[in-house]
Amino acid sequence: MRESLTRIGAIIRTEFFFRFRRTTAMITLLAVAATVYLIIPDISTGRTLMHVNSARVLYNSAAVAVGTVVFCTILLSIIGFYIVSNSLRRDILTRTGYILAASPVTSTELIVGKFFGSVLYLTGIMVTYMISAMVMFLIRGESTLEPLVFLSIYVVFVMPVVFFCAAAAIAFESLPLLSGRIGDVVFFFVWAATFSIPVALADHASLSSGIFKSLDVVGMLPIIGKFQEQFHDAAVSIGFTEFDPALKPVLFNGISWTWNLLFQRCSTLLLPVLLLILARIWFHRFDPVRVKSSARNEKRNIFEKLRRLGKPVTRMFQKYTIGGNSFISSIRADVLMTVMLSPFVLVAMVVCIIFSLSVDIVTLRSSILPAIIVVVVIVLSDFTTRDDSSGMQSLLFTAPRIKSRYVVWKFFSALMVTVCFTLIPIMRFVFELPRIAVSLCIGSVLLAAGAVGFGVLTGSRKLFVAIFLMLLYIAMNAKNVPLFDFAGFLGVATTGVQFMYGAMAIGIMVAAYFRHHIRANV
Amino acid sequence: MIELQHVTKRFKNGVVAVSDFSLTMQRGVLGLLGPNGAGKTTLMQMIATITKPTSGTILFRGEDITHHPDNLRRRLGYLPQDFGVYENLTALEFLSYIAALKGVSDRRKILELLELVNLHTDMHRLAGTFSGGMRQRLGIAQALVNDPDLVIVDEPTAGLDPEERVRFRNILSDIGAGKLVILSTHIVSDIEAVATHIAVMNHGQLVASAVPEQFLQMTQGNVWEAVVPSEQFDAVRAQFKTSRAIRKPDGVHVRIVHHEKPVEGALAVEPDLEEAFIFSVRSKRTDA
Repeated sequence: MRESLTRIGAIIRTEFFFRFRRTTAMITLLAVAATVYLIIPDISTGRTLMHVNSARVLYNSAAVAVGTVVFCTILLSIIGFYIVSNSLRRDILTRTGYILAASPVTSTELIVGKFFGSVLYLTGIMVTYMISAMVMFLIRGESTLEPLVFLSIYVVFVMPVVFFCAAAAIAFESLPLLSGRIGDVVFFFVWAATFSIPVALADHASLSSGIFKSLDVVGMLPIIGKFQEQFHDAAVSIGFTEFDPALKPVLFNGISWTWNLLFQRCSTLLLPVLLLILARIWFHRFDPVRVKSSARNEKRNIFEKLRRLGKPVTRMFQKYTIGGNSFISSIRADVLMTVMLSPFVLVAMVVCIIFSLSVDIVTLRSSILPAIIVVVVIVLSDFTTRDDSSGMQSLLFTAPRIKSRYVVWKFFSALMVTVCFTLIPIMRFVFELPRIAVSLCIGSVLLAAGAVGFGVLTGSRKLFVAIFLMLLYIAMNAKNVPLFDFAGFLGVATTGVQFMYGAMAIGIMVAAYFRHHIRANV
Repeated sequence: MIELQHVTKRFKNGVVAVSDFSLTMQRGVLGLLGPNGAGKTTLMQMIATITKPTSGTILFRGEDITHHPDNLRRRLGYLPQDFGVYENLTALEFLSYIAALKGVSDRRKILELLELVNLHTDMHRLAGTFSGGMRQRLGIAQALVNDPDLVIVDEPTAGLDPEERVRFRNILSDIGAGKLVILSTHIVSDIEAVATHIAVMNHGQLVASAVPEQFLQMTQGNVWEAVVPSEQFDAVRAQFKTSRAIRKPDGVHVRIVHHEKPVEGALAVEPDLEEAFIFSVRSKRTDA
């Protein structure tokens, strides 16, 4: 038993150090602190963290803790998964997995160790978030800081999310079919379900009891329940919202801890336990036959079938990749390579064009455009990382002009691919809804910049997928909030919002450019 | 120490990587030779308990490792092919990690090993900044950290420069005493100086197994040296398996591996290990 604990401890320690020493860890922690800074605005700006029927809620410890915890659970529940879901893959790529498989460490110890390593890392992010919230409270708070109130609310509401993400990550990595790009997309829908099902159930009292509460990983039900209990049917808005300064501020009493609530939060741990059991059952223990068979299983999926069916068509593009030695010809070659690598891209393009031409302009904006964005996110997700993971990057750098202009080259290639999907909608919007056309142009640039930029900055496709799918999900649920309308699909983006997303695209590209120049020693 | 009885590995797509392989291995350095794709890595992985044989038995000290892998895993050191490292860990941290997994808590042992592989001055450097040779040395250190009875190293010198290869061979030679070291490679010079036993694999099968002297004897009379005019050299090379060729003023001095006199004027010469390897692989192919 002691030996076993020592081994698990070593795995946890290594996972933690490995992750915390990466540049992305620093970027994540800075982003976390910046998010907290943004969502707790100075009330003199006319905005606040939380308002009830337009009356701002006083900044006491309970209000700030609950307000920030809602954001923390939403963010961590999706980004957390993508951050920690590369543990087994890393061992496979470095072949360290073989060493682990040939050592006395058991499969259960490996799964448990990697799980708690992820838990520890995500807890570190949670603690950073909580401390940032407490610091912001010291700056903008309107009562005394109560650290225990923060701590209890964060532990009770965020820790189940941490456990869920860590367990889902290891389970998805262990299951062959979900260990790749498909898993990244599937988790997004799982996340959307765990986020929205409890809220939907809250309207049905009979369902919102018992086992269904165990699905409420993000803890929406007790928080909604608390607001209903104190403010009845009042409209509560959380996060950088405008309030009416004429109205008297209201006081939020905080969460009253009951055994029922604690039991409910503990019951959400059943889901991670179940996922861990599945992970243990599915775990391949780095057996090359099972790892390779996972690749074969992936080939049996719909994307692979499409790839095989479309191969004769995409081969026709091969001859167009050759010819010319200009920078533009290298962009053309990369775009065509994208199509040849996956005929799914071609099929998706054709389907998107057909839909873009055949529906009315409102349906195109509100329904087809979000679907196109999801497809573009999937298509662009490995646009940069594919070069590195296939070992092609060094080879590409030997081609004229590519090494020094890699980020620019990739950006224009990604933009070309994106435009193949968005050109028809843009052309239709130009005449009828020109403001949306502008938003979509900027959105296309942002998507291309995000795919390339986040790929270069993190070396992984996951952050790009997580950020854009989450942004799209929030935007679709927020309906008419201009801030989230990054590609015009809500039809409410203001000039300021368009400018903001344009600036964001430039910022991402500049960061990626410098990152590449430092790393590749250009 | 290790006994393989009729071991076969068949993949789901029907490819047979290892076929009816039987061999008993005792202490010393076993050089497992074979061309690329011969099935060496799959065999190593089966012995290292990473993958299971489709049929057959692998015994370690009389115990079937397929069903009871733990005893072997405690006594095993394994360096896989193309070994990578966790880039963000230092050499000391990485080795301490593997040591903990193998149940080794003695820090002195870790430091001794780092000194053995000449990484003690770089032990606080991130492994991601290491050269290929340094990574391989870290790899061999992790394989030895639990003082194993069985060490398996798979293609360890691929990508190393000549100096690192010599250094690596010396380390293997030093650790070979009292242990069984299985060194899988397709580069004959890697095992020439260190192997106490040689096994040759081709197409998943064991085609030869002997001590180096016997292995050379088996090839006796099958290696020839001839001087051929430059203009005929291409034709000779196309017709026969040549192991070496040097251009000199009187023509090309070529060594040919063949079961009978290949060209007029050829003289039988003493084979070396590389020629013995070529002969064993080719003769099995001819048999087939």
